[in-house]
Amino acid sequence: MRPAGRLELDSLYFTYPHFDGPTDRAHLSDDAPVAIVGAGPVGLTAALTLASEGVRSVVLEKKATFNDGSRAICIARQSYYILDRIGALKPFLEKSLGWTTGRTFYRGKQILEFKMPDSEAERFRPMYNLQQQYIEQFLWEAADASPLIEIRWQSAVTDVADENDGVRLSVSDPAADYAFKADWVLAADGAHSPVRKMRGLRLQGENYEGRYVIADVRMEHDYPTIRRALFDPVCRPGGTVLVHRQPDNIWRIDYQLRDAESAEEATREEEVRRNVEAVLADIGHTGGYDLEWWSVYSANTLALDDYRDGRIFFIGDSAHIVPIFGVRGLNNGLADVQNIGWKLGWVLNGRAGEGLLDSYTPERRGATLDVFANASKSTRFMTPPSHGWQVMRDAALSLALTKPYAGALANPRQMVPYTYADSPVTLADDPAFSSGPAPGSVAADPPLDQGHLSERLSGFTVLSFGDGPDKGELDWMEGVTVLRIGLETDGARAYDAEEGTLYLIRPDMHVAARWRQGEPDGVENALRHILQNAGGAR
Amino acid sequence: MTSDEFETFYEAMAEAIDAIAPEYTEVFLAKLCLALGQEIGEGEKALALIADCRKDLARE
Ligand SMILES: Cc1cc2nc3c(=O)[nH]c(=O)nc-3n(C[C@H](O)[C@H](O)[C@H](O)COP(=O)(O)OP(=O)(O)OC[C@H]3O[C@@H](n4cnc5c(N)ncnc54)[C@H](O)[C@@H]3O)c2cc1C
Repeated sequence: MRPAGRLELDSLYFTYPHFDGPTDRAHLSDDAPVAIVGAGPVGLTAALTLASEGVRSVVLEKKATFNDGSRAICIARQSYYILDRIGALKPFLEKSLGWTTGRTFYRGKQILEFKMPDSEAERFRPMYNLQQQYIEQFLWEAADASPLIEIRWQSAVTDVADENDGVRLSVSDPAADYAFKADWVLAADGAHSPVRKMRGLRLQGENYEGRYVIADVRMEHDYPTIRRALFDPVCRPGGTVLVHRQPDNIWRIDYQLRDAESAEEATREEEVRRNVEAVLADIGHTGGYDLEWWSVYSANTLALDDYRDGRIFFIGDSAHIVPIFGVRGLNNGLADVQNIGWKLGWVLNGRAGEGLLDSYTPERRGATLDVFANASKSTRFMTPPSHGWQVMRDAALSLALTKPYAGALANPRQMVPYTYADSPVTLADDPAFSSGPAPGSVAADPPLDQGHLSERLSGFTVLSFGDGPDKGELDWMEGVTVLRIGLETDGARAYDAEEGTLYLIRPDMHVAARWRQGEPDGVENALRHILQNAGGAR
Repeated sequence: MTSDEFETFYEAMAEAIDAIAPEYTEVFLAKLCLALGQEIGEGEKALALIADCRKDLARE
């Protein structure tokens, strides 16, 4: 919502583009290898991921522009690797604000300062703040430049019907209704997913009580990019407030609503202003401010039981709704895309069998359940759901004023990448390793030559340490890259490697298998298992 | 106690308070403190914790 006198897209700092529906219409009913429903951040990233695998897609979006309001603002380190892989990173790095630190206050006194893991050797900061409309704009710019991506704006998908080897999509745009066939569909149509409803599927899980108002204000405010959490502050006794810095002098203020406060009342402009002003007074901001946008948000942990329904895959908010604490909404969706994107790409390129696609649900639903577990902990601390949690939370906060160990309970546990341990395409670990990334986890990214290892990954990558097997012995297959890494390097240390150690890294940067003493045959068998027999293994 | 164990303890207490009838909350918490005080095994330490925990209850 926006202040009186301003329309939904009248932002103080962002110009929303207007996109017409398709004008060149001769080809609209032609078959497509992949149709993507929704041009939100997840749908656009999916199109770019497929394009990076050489796969063409058609994106259908019912609106004429980007999502209103800044919504998701925290992008995690792992998501920057995804943006890098799809060639969209540059504008994100230029515009966003990187950060590592959070401070938690109780009744105005600091009880915790946490730092997310970071060092000079890391390629990216643990977290970046950027408004969602910029996220969508930068993704759109990259997608618009790709000859493999066709975005159809003002085009609502109204029906999906199974057909032989494909799905027939019915589309309605300002000029006409039409239908076309796609081999595969990615449903990136958001939390209210019409596609999910068309398939008769329902999200399962819990709705939490805690409701927050999120308000963005523009102000000249001198505080570094540090997440501030205020418990029981003067401005909202008994409640919780979060303050985040965004680019363009925009600040995000989240404050918890009391049980008695109705959402209708709380989202009236005067109410929002009154509450925002109280928060600003509390954080010592004396200058003026402009109100940009606000909304209400509640914490839910809801997910589909299966992210796949025939030839349709659910990605992002259509598959799961997660609490905002710990910034998992968007980041979790981008990780879905990275996962299904390369798998579908490799199937469509004829490099992998369809069985590979069966690993999408166990890997990504597992990740979502893990997010639920962590997010539920933070949610219980932010908005205690019952008397017991309330008493303990208040006791911990009070104790934290003198005992730092109690303050640690307030750590929001920002999202870290999930390990695909129970996946049909994760191979058993080699017990000879004592450290380094195990199969299923995200590859380490140590400095290498002038840059980082991640900049050299492409397709499946074999890391070969010392004088181990080289190209020729290993790159027998299209899409496999071999990277030789010397001993006595940051790389060898990060991977607990010795002469002859091999790692097999997937296109989504997760480790598929590793051998302390590897042979080309072992790598070949592992790849065959992943790409050809994965379906049979389930 | 590791920080994970501390958190598990915190959560178990929250669940215990929710599980018992509300009229017994205070007695339950006092009983738990007596048991923990005994486990500490040092009278002075236990008394010092009482003094510590009386602080910061009311808003200043
Ligand atoms: C008010 C609000 C605040 C939020 N705050 C945060 C936050 O602070 N942190 C965080 O991490 N996350 C936050 N989120 C969540 C975050 O915005 C989402 O996780 C993210 O937008 C998910 O992206 P998506 O692409 O899956 O879905 P969406 O961004 O919802 O995109 C779905 C797209 O599909 C389109 N669509 C729907 N139906 C059809 C159809 N039938 N045909 C064609 N197109 C269709 C929609 O128009 C939309 O553009 C917030 C969400 C909301 C609503």
